[in-house]
Amino acid sequence: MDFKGMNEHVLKGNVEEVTRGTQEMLESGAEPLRIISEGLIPGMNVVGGLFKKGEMFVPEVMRSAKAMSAGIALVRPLIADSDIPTRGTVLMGTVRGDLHDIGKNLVSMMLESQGFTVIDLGVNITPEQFVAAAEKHRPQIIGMSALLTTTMLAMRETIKALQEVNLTDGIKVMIGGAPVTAAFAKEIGADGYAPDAGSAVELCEQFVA
Amino acid sequence: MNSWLEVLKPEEIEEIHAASLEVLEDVGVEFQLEEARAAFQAHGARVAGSRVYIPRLLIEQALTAAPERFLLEARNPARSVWIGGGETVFAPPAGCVYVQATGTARRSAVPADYIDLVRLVHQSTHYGTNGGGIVIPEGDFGSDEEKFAWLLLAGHWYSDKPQMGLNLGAKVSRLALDFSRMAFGGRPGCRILGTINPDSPLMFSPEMLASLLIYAREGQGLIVAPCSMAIATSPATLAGTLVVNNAEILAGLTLAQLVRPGTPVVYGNTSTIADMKTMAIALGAPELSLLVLGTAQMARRYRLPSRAGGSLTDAKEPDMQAGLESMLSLLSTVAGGVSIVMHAGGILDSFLTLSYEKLIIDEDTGGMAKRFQRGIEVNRETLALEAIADRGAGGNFLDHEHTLKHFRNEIWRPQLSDREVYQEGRDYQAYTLAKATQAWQKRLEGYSRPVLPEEVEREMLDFYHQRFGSEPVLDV
Repeated sequence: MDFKGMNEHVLKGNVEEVTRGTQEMLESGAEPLRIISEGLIPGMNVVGGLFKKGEMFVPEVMRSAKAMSAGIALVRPLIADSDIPTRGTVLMGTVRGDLHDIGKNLVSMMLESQGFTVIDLGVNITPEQFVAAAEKHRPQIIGMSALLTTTMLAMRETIKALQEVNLTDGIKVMIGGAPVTAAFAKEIGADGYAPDAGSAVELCEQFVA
Repeated sequence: MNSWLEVLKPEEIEEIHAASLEVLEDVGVEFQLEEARAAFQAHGARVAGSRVYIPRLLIEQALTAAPERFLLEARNPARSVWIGGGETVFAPPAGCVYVQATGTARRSAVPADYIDLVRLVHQSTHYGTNGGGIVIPEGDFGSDEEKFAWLLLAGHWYSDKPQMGLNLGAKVSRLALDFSRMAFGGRPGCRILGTINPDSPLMFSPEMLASLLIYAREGQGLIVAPCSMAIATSPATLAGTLVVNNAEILAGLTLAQLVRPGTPVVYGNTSTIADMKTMAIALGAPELSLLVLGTAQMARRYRLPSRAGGSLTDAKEPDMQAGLESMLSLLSTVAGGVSIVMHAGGILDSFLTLSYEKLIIDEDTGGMAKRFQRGIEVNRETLALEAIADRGAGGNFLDHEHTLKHFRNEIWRPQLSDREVYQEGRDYQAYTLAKATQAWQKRLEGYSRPVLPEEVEREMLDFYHQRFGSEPVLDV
């Protein structure tokens, strides 16, 4: 299989073919980093473009991302962590008191599919947990999610906690979830708000540009 | 009798039923509360971790125990309504966080909105119930618990219609039952109707389970209603979504019947699709209306009252999109024979916003839908042979006795739709909406409070004061 063929299989979201192709390439001595940058990522870039145009939809994007990840998983052990191309690290979590994870997971997967490294903290994450994780991972971006009007206020506390230890200086904070608005984001001192997963990716792209 | 609008053939209903039983037995349902799992285990269900595998026998027994219809009582007995048995009862919205009125931008709801909305719903002949969390206001409350207590109290204070419940865990559910008990002065019966939302797919949170147990033990009314979004939290196919939803509803219903056989449970479903680009919930989708019709049919299969649908839209203003989406969903709801319809008016922006104007506009949506559902009555009298013979060719029927006898009942008249001839100089962009504004404003002016017995009001105020250390903001 050549790189062009791999791109096609990523576009089609064909996990088996991408896995087979990656193995084949590794066996024939292809350079691991080139498999990622020329075999996998270009296919995913096409997916990203088609999604923006409304020609591909979320289930298809996720399938393509899965195919790309299957390839990366095979190549990863052969490359130093620092050599793996990433557009930035995003720390994601649903705030304290809120157990809804689907929206957050969707944003995480869309971000990963577009080349970001995502560290997903899970649900019901306290301000202290956000701070500890931010200190440990030093991400470029922190993303917070809430589905309930009663829990969105925990976003304010989390930002306060981050501010108290000066973590907001180097880290951009974005928030999202059904009850959240751009006005609320501004009010609580978040750097950005995204109404849906596609926009969250665009926002992160702006943050790291 | 007219027949309901149906989308599933009898054998398809059975296929969905059989598939759900398979899911309940083999995939199981996550019950995140030990007490709930213990109840299942005590009746022979297999429990592994938080997963409960429910045998079909338990489901069948529960279905036998659950009533086909029940009387949801109002503190004013004349306003009590039957849930199930063929009538469609409209209920106000629940859980909106924003309000909107003509001439003002969307803003957060405040306590005064809630009071006004309860007053409006109280006077409307469209809405059969009142209260619950029509809007969840921002306000100066000591705690969320106090806020919900105030909503419950104000519901009883300003309206004697049957009250919808609030369920956000044990504390709030107990408050809902406490206030309704006080309002009823100890009178027995089903005096509140609360909703239990499973988290699709196939999961019940500790909060919802605690609420379910509290209501069931007191024999109070429960709506078990999942709100899955096909593609995301249930399968992309509507049949698959119905299988998952049906399993969720039957699981919740079974628990309620295990706790107290005969607990009134409504077969509810508010599921729809996720938009394939944004993954946002899409209420205006035709797929929602198909699920509403399927839900009503499944409920009839089980001889249970149903809850589904509403006057639903994703539009942000009471505009063209709001009109066409709301009509599709409410017409399906009514024509499908749904028993109780929450969000039967006022909803904008996928449940987030309540529009004062749309609260009135949807009285027309509902009126139109109910008239449509009544269909064409054909009998000797309605065939009007005598009148036709009397007035013959070239005559008119305007003042015929047959006309006078029938026209008011046969023909429905809108309060807002414009049927006049074109008027020069009239601003048609604003005309109908302005009529809606006038209607709700006038209704607020004409409101008078259906007071409770003095000692009951005292008891409620004392209860509130003791619990929260403050006085509730109400007009006394």
